[in-house]
Amino acid sequence: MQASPSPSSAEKRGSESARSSYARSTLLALPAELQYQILSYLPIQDQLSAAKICFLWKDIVLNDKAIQQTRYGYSSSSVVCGHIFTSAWIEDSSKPAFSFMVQNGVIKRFRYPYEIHESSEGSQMILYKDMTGETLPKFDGDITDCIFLDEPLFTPFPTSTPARFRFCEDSDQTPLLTKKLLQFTGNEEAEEGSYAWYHLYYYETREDEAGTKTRTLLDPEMTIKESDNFVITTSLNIFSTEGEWSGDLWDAKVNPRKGTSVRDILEAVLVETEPIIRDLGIKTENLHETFCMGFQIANNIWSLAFGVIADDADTDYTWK
Amino acid sequence: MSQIILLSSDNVEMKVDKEVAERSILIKNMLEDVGETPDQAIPIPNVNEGVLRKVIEWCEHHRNDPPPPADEDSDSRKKSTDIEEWDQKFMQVDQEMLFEIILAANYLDIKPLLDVGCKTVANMIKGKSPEEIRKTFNIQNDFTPEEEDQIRRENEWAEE
Repeated sequence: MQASPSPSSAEKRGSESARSSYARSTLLALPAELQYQILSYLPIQDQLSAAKICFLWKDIVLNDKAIQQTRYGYSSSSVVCGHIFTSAWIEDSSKPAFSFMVQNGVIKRFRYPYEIHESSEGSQMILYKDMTGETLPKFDGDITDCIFLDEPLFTPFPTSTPARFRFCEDSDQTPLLTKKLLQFTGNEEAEEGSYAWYHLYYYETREDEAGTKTRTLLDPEMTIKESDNFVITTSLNIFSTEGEWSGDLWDAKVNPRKGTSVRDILEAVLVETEPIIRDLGIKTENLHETFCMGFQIANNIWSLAFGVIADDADTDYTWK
Repeated sequence: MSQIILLSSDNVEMKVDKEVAERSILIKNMLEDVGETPDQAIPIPNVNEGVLRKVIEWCEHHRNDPPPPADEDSDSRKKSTDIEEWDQKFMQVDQEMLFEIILAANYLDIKPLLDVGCKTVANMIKGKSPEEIRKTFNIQNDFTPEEEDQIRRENEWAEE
């Protein structure tokens, strides 16, 4: 740490008395590097409070790399994946999961935990629940003041890691328009049968007066009308064939243009997203870390959104 | 045990064991440059008597501590705000003194004392609302209502 001269007490007092109503805080008068150090000790919830104090602290909390790193909880020694990754899911699909998406490196959308219930008619109902499985007392939790949602996603990882998977067709019969299997190549992990799915699916979302959302799978040949409200999702899912772990690695949604067919849109999305997924540069030996990190980021956002104080900084998110 | 004399910014001389004074890397390097124990007082122009006495008190207590690990970015430093009991009591001072100690530790290059000081401030921030933090440290909110609104707008997210 470099020694830096401090203003003498006399100078400080002089400048304080010169200001009439607001004395300059001695804390803010500390050299910036010391303020960095102080803020770097704060857990994420307190960083959030600190960022609302004043311009200087907002700047430090949002832009200082070392402090960002404390939010994403990962050391730079881990080489995981490239410039875009998102969406942590809990392995057991019967439990509610939550996720968020990243566009151009910025966290853009947060999705509450939900469960999907399928009715006998085939329509699906989405129930928003918290991590314990209890239905949330209110689903009006507002996270718009979560400033981290709009910060560039901190990626301490090189983006040039070569991709080690290739696309190949999968014959699995699902209601998905496109489902591609990514096979990992060139290492032992591939022999053990880890694989990734890249798929597109499509549904209509409706919300009733109580705020309950239902979603219904669509016919790919239908044409989008002015009144239609579609959400189209593409995602990259990674599974191990032994069923030990799985996760959504990447998830994107698009607003469809009117007057085109669902199939056209999905194919356009496919063309758009394949290079991105190729660029992910996943190294299979680091897939666990990828998910752990995604989960940790999501957990941080979760605790911000719902005010849960997570004092379990040492929690091991390793998939087992 | 050889002793040296430190001269505070308000011209008060203090005799301390060389070993204690050398907890300060600044003084340690200075003494190494000089080569032998100086007879004259070493001026510490940025630190007044009261603060210097506190800093020396800390150095006396920690005179036999092992040197801190060379790795500055060790995770333990970042994560934990645990402070040992003696240091906690030592840091039970008013805010002005606390920040003066931090500045002195920074100037004199006494890293473990600087860490303790910064952790103490971090612990004062923890668990408080923005308004409470401002009150605790007498910080003026320099966001205008428009800017606070802007912060909110920046973070709008699309509900699916």
